[in-house]
Amino acid sequence: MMNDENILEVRNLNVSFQVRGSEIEAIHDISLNLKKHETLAIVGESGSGKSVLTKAFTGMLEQNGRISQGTIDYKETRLSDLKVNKQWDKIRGKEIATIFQDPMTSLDPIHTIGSQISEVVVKHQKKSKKEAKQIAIDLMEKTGIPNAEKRYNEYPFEYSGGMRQRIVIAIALACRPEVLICDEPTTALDVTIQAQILDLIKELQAEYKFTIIFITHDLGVVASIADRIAVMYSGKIIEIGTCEEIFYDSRHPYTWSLLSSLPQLARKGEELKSIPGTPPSLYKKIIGDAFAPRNQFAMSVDFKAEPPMFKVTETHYAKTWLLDKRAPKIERPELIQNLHQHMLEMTAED
Amino acid sequence: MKKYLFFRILRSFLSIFLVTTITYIIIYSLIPKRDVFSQDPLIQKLASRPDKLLDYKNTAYHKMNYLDYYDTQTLVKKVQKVVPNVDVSGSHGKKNLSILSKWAKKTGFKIKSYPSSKRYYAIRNLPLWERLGRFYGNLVKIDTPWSVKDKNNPNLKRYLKIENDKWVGWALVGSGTKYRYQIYFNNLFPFIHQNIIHFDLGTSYPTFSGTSVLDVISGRQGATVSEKYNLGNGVTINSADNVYTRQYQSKTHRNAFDYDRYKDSYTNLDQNYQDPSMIGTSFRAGIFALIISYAISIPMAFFMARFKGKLFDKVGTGIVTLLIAIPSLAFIYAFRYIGAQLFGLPDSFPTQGAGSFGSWVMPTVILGLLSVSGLVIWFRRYMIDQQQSDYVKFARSKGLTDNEIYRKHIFKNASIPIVQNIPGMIIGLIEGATITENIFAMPGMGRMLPDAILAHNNSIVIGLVFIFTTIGVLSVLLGDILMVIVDPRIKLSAKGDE
Repeated sequence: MMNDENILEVRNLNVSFQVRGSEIEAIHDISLNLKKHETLAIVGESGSGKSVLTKAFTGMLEQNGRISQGTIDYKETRLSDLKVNKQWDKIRGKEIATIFQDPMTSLDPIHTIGSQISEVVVKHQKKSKKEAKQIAIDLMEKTGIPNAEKRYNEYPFEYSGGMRQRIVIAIALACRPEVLICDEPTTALDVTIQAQILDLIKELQAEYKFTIIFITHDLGVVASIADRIAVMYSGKIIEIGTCEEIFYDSRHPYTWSLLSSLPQLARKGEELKSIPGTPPSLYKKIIGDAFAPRNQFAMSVDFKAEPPMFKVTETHYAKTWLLDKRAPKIERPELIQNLHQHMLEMTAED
Repeated sequence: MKKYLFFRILRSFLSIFLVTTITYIIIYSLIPKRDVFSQDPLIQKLASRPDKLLDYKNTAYHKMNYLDYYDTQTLVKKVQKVVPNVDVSGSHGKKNLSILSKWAKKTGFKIKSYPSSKRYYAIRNLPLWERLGRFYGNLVKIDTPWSVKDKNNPNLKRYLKIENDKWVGWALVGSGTKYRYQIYFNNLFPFIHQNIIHFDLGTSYPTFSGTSVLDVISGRQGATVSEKYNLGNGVTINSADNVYTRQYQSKTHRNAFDYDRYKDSYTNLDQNYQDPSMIGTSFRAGIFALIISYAISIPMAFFMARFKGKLFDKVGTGIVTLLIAIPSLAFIYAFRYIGAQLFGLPDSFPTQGAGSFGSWVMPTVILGLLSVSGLVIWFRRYMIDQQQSDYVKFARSKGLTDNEIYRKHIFKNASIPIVQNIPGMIIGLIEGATITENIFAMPGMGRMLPDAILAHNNSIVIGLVFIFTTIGVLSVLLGDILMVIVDPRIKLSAKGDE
């Protein structure tokens, strides 16, 4: 039975794809709880499986992909049992809505902005076309579109990138979803617009009380929005904890590397830190810890056996042998030891 | 947009002008004019009578605009206008020749004599530019109340007024104009007709000898039909006259019967024919073929894309591949055989004629089916391309059902390139379907251009080039305008950044 605090529960989820005759696993044994009204950030490199994971929540996996094991529960519905689009139609939009990375192409180029919003209002809020128009204009105003009444009849090409992402958000809101999946919604936007969109999402969450899953590879974005952070590597969650725990008390060497590569931490005259090597190919069977070959703290056990999830606190878990009692004590890299301090200094300098 | 359209139309006219002019120059300068007679049986017959032969050839050249030619009789009349009472009709000596030469010098003609009778005739080669000038000069004719110049009828009234005519009903009626009815209405498409502006593309020769090119292409064909006219007071008459075409006729030409019937000088008229014109036949068959092919291929492609990879898609792909693989000639014959044997449809157009519905069924259905495969392939492809796009993913994530996504979003986006092509398809119809029309012996446009080229019917060739270019250029423009209507991103503007 599902915990009342949770809106979404994932148990031992495996997602695999048929590629050229062989089955490859993009998501491996992930368990995750999503609490009501929280913001969970999922971070990881490209190809770590963060998008695939959320696509599994809305039945939008590519045709060759499937849930090979495990369960996803949303409220009373077992999502992992839904097969055809007809069943998903009740979930998508109305319960779980997604906004995507590229606002430039997320909107239908030949329908007006207004019709694309009110289409959703008519469908999910069961309003007449006339009421829908008013609701749509309100939503546009709420998401910060000036002259909403006039711009209602304009087409996507007449909007800038930031404006389009606001419209995409307005459309998602028009669905009145319980869960909003934001799949790198700010990646395609420039920094100032990024900040505006993040603020907008936070404001709207406060007003409409929905739960957010925020996918990004930008830890800087995460710091400003997330309650909890899940770090993914090679189809697995390798560390999960509250925002503070991940930033100031992370335990997994991969998280350390990610934090060390924050451009904010770079000192003048020094090169930016980067993680050597590339993520492992999914075509090969991975033995041991997937991150081991790139891990400067790797121990011989890392190449032989996969580490289990170690509990650090009630909210903080990490999947690394370093937390085993037998492992030697290893200090976090000096750069991120006083992360809080650094951050404060930097904001002071600004 | 207005500015763009203005310049676009200007450019269109320029390209029509260039294409027509180049064709004109090529035809009249590169093709030897004697080729005109290469298949003329009369040449053999006239071989023993050199005078007649020369006269026949020169008359033909004259009609085809190669040269100006006056035979003895006309020459005498022309010269007499300048020097009265000259008799040059015989092969009379030097005195007459000097008068003729003087006349010839002034007018640019050359005086020559027939080989056997030695009588004189005049000839003048037309330079290319002059021929072109005549072609374009005569191209558009506008009818005004001062168009008719008849010395024998000085009292002809000159006016334009709207009146309820007893022959055609309410119309803009002219007097002094070439045509009696300038604007009139009837129940034939497009219901409002005009006789103010007429195009003249020259006279057809040697095939359809003497008929104007436009009449060959757009004049109705077949047997004449009578219509009943109610003239009030209980008087009705049956007549095959097409009263809408009443034109001015001078007293010397008209016959008493017609004058008695119409009670004015407009007694020169065409007859009503029962069958559509050549261009009409091709267009009628073509437009229904177009409807058939879109009616089949758009839903077929829609559902193939909708259920991509499923049974319907596989079967559809099989059918399309089969249609492409079969040569069209084989397809036409096979279909014709099936239609004739199983459904008893006429396998040749003239069997039942243009008036019978049955005659049209097979040619139109075949024409339609022939273009199904191409359309299906493209439309299915466009739809599938749209399926992959981000806005479809987003539409799905916002909870639209597959039906809604396909109907509202994918279909409309995939239609844009198809819509732009529709006017282009219509040109194809007007130009006719050579093979199909040939097999069914349809009196359409399909064979007209090749026939005209083989017969050295220069006027028809140039006329067709002019018409096809005009329709072609304008339909590309129409296609672009249609695309602007369906796709808001596209604007017709003179500058890219406007």
